[in-house]
Amino acid sequence: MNRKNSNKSRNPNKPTLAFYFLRALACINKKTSMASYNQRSGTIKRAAYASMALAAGPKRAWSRAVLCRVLWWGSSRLHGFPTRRRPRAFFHRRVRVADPKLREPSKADVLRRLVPGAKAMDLSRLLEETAHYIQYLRAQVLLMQNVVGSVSD
Amino acid sequence: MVRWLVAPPSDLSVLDPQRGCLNGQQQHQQQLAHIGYVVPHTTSMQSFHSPNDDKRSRNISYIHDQIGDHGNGWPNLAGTKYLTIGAATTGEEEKSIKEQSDNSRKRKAENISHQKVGCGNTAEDGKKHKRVKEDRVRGGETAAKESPRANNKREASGDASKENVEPPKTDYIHVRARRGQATDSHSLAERVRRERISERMKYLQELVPGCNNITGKAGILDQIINYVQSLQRQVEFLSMNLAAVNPRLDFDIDHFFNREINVACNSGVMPVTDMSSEQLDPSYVQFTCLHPTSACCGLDMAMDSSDIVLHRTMSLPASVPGPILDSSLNVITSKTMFMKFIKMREWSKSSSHLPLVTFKGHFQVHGSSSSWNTGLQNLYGVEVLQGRGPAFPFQSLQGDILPCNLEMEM
Repeated sequence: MNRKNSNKSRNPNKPTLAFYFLRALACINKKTSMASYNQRSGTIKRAAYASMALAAGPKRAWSRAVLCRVLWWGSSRLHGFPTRRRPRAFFHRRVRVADPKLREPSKADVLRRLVPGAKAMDLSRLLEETAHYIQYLRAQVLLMQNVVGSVSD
Repeated sequence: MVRWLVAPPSDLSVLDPQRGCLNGQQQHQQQLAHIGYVVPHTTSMQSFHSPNDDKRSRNISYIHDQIGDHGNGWPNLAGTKYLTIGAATTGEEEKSIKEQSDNSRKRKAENISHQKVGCGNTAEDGKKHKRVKEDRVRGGETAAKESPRANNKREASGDASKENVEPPKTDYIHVRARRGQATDSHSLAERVRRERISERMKYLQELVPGCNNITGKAGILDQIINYVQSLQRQVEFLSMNLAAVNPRLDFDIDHFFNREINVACNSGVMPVTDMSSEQLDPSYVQFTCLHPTSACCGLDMAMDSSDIVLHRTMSLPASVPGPILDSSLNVITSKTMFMKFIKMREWSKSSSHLPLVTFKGHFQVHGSSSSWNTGLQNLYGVEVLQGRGPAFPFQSLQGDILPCNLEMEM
């Protein structure tokens, strides 16, 4: 039963993914048609990640981290705060390492930087989150490719 | 020869075998957090084990004796000594009797009793192997009398059944060191951790294309990093593409919608083409940008339309977006829509994860790519259709539906 649960939670639910992403696309299309190309592409990218995280649900650390990031972006934009600065201390747990600046970043550290929300995790948990993240990333990429393909036809 | 080892209070890695066996189930980790560790002194151990049955208290008692006597208080068990991990006083004993015992058992705080660490166990050939068992009195009292071989055999036959029968009341995991390997508690924990990591790496190896022939953690990690980076770059690139073609979306939505509605009509559903042509209006009123409450926005969309009629086929189990997507093909009144939407919720709980399964009723689900395309066209159509009418004040529904939507996704 435990294995079944893990497998079920790992396969991304593609209709949900498509739904969120397309809704976001439609919204973006309507609202920011006058915005610059760069802004629009950035917004679409954020919408892609947000839809991915929404489809994944709050059970994974990476989806929580992504959603936090997106929400922070949204709120900051609404209130006019600069979007660059992020409340890192609030959202990220610091990992105490022996020589944080001196030692060369190991591969696990590189992976921690890549996978959102995986900064304070041991290696086994990190690998698990990476696996889940890869599955959803792949589904998202497939979806976007199909959208582009169908639109450009 | 049996050695009893008690889990140290601060060594989290000791709990790894459970996680490894369960493939990192979250609930077990939470349970682990709740279960306290067995600390090698009297009061804490007793309080920790008070809810358990008598058998276990007997075990604890001799561990107490052992702690007090440093392993010398058991004349019955010739040559057997009992140790605690992390107890400084007994640290020397570990080394001293390491040679004496061929196998060792390790006690750990456990959440589920029926687990096995080290999937490559072979109990049949009589070798010592690492096992996870629940705590039993038998081990404590009769350990010295058993030969290692008999021990293995009995464990092989009895343990599996016992593990499955007894509920997770037990608090210990018994791990055996492999033959010819160090039986130090730390090395055991380390081995467990390594096995978990290698199991996860194997799973990742299957996920990431092109790293099947690569051996070694470093190479696989490199491939994983490259793959994640390439996927992220692809997302960025595709978002740039979408930004470039975005103005064309409206036109295409109309086109797709018309096409799909015609197909739907052929399947015998009530035709909507006459209505739909009036409603082809991509100026959505209700869409909000991706927003903190975006989870409920989709549901707003579903309920949105007083004059738009959307019908849902009752036969297609799907997740919440699924029926919404499917609704583009049919027509219903808005009053019945609410009732059906509530039913949708129950169906979605048993939804399959097939991509775009909702379109089966009306389309052939071919390969994944073609189904994606047809599905996307339907999605476009749905969004146009639903965006047409005036907004309903669905705040009352949101609170009800939102948690359901979230729980479906979770």
